[in-house]
Amino acid sequence: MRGPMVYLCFAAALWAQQAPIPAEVKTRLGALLPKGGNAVRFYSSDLYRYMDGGADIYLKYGLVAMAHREYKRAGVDMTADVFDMGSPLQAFGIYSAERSPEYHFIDIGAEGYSSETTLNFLQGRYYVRLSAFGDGAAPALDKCARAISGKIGGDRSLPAVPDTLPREGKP
Amino acid sequence: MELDRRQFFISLAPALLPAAAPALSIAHYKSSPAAPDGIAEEARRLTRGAIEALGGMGRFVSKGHVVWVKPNIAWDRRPEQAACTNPDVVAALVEMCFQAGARKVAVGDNPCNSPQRTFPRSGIQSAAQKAGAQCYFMDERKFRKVVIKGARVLKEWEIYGDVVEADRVINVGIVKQHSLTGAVLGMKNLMGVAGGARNRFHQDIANTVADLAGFIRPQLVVLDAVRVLASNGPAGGNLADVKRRDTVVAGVDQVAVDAFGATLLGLRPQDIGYVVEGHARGLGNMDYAALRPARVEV
Repeated sequence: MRGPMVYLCFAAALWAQQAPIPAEVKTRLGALLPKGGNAVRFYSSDLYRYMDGGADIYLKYGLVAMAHREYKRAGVDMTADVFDMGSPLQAFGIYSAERSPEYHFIDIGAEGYSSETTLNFLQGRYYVRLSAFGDGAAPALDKCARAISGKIGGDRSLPAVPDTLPREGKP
Repeated sequence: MELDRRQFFISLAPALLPAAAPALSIAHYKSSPAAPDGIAEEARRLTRGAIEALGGMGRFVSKGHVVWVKPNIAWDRRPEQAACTNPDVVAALVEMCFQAGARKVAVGDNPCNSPQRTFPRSGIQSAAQKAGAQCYFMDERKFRKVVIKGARVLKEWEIYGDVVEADRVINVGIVKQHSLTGAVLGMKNLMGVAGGARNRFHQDIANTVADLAGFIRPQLVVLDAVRVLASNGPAGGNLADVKRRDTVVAGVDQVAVDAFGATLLGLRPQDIGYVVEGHARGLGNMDYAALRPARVEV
């Protein structure tokens, strides 16, 4: 099941990376982040500056841009990363590459999971990764995730393409 | 880098050691404690066990030496998330360096996330400083362009000056899955002494890592596998991706150390491009079993 999915996502990703990034994409991405702290944006050309070797798989899945903000609220150090993957299918591609059946899945966006210090979810063309440290990290993550999810809005369902694939090997 | 007389003899040192001194040691803990204090104790005892099995730190560090210890401090992650080297492994090495007579021990890395976050969050900064090491953020002005002879990719690159000038370099990485290379082990950890546009490294990562490893040639390589990041590396974050291996590996052969490290992730040495490349270039032996590693249960 994974093979055809990967090819579909990569084909879409290659097409998307040829196009210039519209200004409204950048503006909308920045607006999704919580307020406070300095926001930084990265693109396919410089994502390595932020993620080093971790960037490669994001580029393969067609990253358009990502916005990053670090801030401290009520004693909790928060990091919010929002990845605009260009399409729901590409966002699903990178999200599903990083999820594991062992994770604790929660009801957020189209699908998401959390641990004591991290919360990742998928919604539309966005893949959101949050991390937090300090007392009260878990509720802070949940609050931040729901705020971002609300700003993204729109359809909260998973892309339909995986449903067209055989049931064998489905998680 | 041209070898001067001192560096030439340093590079020969492993070959001149008594035949009894092993090139590789693998220390495994008999239990797998869950409490933080127990894990800290485990990390320190494993590190000491692995180094003692090699003949002790005195084999590598002598009186008056300046030692650069290079952990993985790349990510804004806590020790239990296994994205950075265990701080107690680093602290144990620093203590052993001073006990062997080191004049100064510096601990540093050029991280992926901001050092203001990674140094304290990893626990490495406080543990290293408590053990007497200097642990500062890298200074941009100290990177200097060096010529790397025999390099396939990095023919000329910016390397941290203090590392180049140190009498001894100890590379102490952590075992992690990596989306591009298969695994982050010791040799790849050396990317943290390089500056410049490191995104270029990924265009030919196997040769780039081998170029760096051939230039730095650490006198001692240690791999922390108390916890390993078994998936979603190099940054991870989710504790479900972390597995206990309760092991510390040490050696003078950086290829052999990494070859064994790969097996802790269920990989074969030949699955890791830079291990294969390092072996092909004669930087070490990926057939680690042929080195008859000293195995110790702690």
